[in-house]
Amino acid sequence: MTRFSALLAGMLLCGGAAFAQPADVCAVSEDLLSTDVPLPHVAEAVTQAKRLQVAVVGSASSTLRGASGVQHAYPAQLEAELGRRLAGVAVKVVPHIQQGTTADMATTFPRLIAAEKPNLVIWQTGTTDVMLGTEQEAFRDALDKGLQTLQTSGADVILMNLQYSPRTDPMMHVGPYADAMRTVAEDRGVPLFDRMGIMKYWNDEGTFDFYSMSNDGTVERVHHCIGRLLADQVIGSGKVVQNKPTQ
Amino acid sequence: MPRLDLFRGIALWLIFLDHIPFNVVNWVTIRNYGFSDAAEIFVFISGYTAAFVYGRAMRERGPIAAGARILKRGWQVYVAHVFLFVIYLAEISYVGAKFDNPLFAEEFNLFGFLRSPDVILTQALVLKFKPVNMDVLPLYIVLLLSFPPLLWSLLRSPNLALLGSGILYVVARKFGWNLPAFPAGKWYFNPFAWQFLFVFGAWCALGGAQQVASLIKSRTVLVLSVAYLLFAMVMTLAGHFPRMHQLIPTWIDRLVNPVDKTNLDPLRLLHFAILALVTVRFIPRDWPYLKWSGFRPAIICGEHSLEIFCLGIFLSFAGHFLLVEISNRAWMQILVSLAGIVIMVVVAWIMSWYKKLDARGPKSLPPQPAAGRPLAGDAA
Repeated sequence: MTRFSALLAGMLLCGGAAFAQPADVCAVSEDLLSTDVPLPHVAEAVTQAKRLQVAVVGSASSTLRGASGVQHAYPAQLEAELGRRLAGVAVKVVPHIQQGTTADMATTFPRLIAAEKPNLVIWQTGTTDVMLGTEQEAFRDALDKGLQTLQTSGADVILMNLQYSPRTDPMMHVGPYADAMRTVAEDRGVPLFDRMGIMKYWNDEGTFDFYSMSNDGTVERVHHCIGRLLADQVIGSGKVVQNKPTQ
Repeated sequence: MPRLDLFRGIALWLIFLDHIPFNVVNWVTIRNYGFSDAAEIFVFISGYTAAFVYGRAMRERGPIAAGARILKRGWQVYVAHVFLFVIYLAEISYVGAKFDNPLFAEEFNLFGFLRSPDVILTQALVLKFKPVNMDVLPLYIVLLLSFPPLLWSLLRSPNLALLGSGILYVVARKFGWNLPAFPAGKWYFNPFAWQFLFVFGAWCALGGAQQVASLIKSRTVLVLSVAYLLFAMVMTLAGHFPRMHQLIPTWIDRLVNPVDKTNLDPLRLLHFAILALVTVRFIPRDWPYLKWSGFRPAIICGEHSLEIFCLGIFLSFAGHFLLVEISNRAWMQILVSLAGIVIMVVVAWIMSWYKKLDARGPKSLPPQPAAGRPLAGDAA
């Protein structure tokens, strides 16, 4: 229902323009990508300093296997996309891939902030906690403390939730953790990048088939799209004037 | 107790449907329209039945004999749980061996435990490692193990026993008491919290229902109940539709959400109690339609609840497997859901047939005690 009405609204708004451009493979419905929460530090870095430093803290799903994995993973895609769209701004995205629970990750924040002084931290977490079965309350506390550390450090934060993984999700209690991430982010005034909702949308729309067992290059395309949409969110939430059109 | 069996049978179907992930038919199940779901129905009715059957046994044959029968039932449930775990292992081993999509390398670590069967099998046997959807039977086992002394006190002083159970519920929630799970965390169904619903069911079976009869008949209570059910429906549906969720004032949202299943959130408990109350008001024990043949399939499933419950869990694994391997289109989801329910009904029917066969057996055999499957009597 919602998707249909969003689609309808989108068609009405865009009118003929929608048909003039080739269909965007990464496209998702509007409500999946909210840019309501501002990112003041990002805006300042882009407009004043002309230098945007981003740190991505995440687990294994924020990178890809193999020698060239890092180059194709979404942090690198995000860097390329932001660099392309924010002309004249030096964009640097540094991935910090770690294996550990939300609480473990949060302990690394002070050192990371001190070393890199990022304007924006994208924190992808939750997967390890779901697999281990971290207690709900402990998970929420760790999330809240981690976000607080980042917010008081002079950086903007985007929280990213789990992947949509239809083959393994049914074997884990994903729902309560995803809900907790949504509410904690809301309470902390941090935008949530709903990776799970976005990937589910792609799966339902037939953009990508996440049931598939083989790797036919979709992996890189998925990460490319995640990087693209993240860039949309950073630019949209950062209220940054786009120098170039997306396409 | 056809009314009880009817609702238990329906709960078994709902549990089966809910356990098939990403299934369009899930939309018919009650968890989308209120705080509580089929798990509450199952636990409550299990408590009711246990008290009804073993309460009579305890009065007639004394606490030792009745206690021994309860423990025997607990053992049967344990064996059923281990059997289901083996089926689960077979499925997960198959998927784990075949599935290799680098996008999900991290989620794939879930199958890592297959490399250390020594650990995982031991942890499963002591009920610490419980795969998703296999959390209800361990709860039931623990509840049955602790039921003999509980039943004894319920028979002596039902209200006092219920009060004690309620205090444990409150204290356990307050101090976070729960049993440990493996590899981390606690039980998904906290026995210290969920025992209250089980005891509440038992209390209702042992005369408690009559104590609240005036509440059931009260018009004011009915109006308040319907209001609460509507509120729960709006809040739960809003969780599914982001646009609807935006219309809910934040303070209400924060007051209600998250509705905690692990520790049986009071909102869930209240929701179930109200559902039960409204149901009892409109569907009396001697409701003529209970004899209607259309209800028969659900009733016979309810009469064989443990077996059909296990079958339902197995069918949900199998159904999910078919959806993943063959097709996950909507028509296939509907087909798998319907086929599963038909299989559950057919198996329940065969079991009834066996039971009749046994009953007609040689006269020298003593009559089978109806352990956990009360068919006689009509207390509900």
